[in-house]
Amino acid sequence: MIHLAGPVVLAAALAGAGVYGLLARRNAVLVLIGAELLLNAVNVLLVTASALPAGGLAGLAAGGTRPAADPLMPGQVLAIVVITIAAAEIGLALAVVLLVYRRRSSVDLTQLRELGEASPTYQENPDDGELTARATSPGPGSTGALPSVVEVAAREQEGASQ
Amino acid sequence: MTGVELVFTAFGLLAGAAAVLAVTSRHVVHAALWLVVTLGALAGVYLTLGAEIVALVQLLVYVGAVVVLVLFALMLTRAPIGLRNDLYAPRGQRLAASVAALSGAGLLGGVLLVAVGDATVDPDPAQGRAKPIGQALFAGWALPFELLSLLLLAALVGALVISKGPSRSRSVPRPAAVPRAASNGSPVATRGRAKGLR
Repeated sequence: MIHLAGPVVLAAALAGAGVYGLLARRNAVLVLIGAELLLNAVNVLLVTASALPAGGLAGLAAGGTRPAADPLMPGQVLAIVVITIAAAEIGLALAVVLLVYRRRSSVDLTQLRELGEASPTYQENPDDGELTARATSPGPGSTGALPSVVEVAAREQEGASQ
Repeated sequence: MTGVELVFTAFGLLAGAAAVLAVTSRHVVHAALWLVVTLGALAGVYLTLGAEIVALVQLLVYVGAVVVLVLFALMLTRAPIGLRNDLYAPRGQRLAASVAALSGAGLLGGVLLVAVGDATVDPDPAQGRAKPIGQALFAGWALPFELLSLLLLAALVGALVISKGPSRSRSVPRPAAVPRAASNGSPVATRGRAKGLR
């Protein structure tokens, strides 16, 4: 005999932990761990439901305790289905994560602000203009920082005099 | 409290605590290892709930394959070893995440607790053995089972295509540095202009 409050509280705790992991983590692989926990919360509920008597919760209220003799075993079969889908999901998701890492050298989700292929002006940190400045002003006096207005004006005068 | 319930409670507490540690640990690898503990304890939970095959599949697929994949991904993305403080999103998002997690868990648990009331179940381990599950899976659930194999095939091909990346011929070459002639015009060299060049 197992009191049904146990599996229910366990599923709720797993779901809460999964939601927290999905929302609060920055590393993409750790976000996937949260997704796995959510799927397992579903599985706990499915397996618990497979132990319910015929009629489900209504059957419980009617006083039955023996599990329903359903030849289709929906609870446990669906749990296996969820496990399979989770395996497919994590394989695909980790392929995406590895591709993102190869492209951007980072799996930090707070830094991934552009979808698709990184555009030429893409920079990981918008507060740091160094990358853009190097790409757009390869002048001899460029120190890597953004050129000041005076610098650019002087350079254009130089270009006009040539 | 019966013996089965005692075992269930032990496994359940272990799974819940390990799940919380898996999402709060500040070591990347420790988080993955706490996930192993969670999934293993959940296999024990399934066993006590009379689902033997599900517990074995859980051990084989989750602990055996998924966790290995996660650890490989951590290795291949050069996850930092040791204590890290940058694993979390900013404080505001963290706060919102904990509010969402607590309210979601409270809602789910509260509704289900009210629904199940003070009921107990008596799981039948004979139902979760290989024979009934196999008969159900390959007779009644034959079509969903085939669809699952199709899904796995699609995931396999998709993972291959994604990790191969776009073909070279179709990828746009990154333009070289802008020649100086392109930077004429008004001498407003703010960052916005530098960004808007292309």
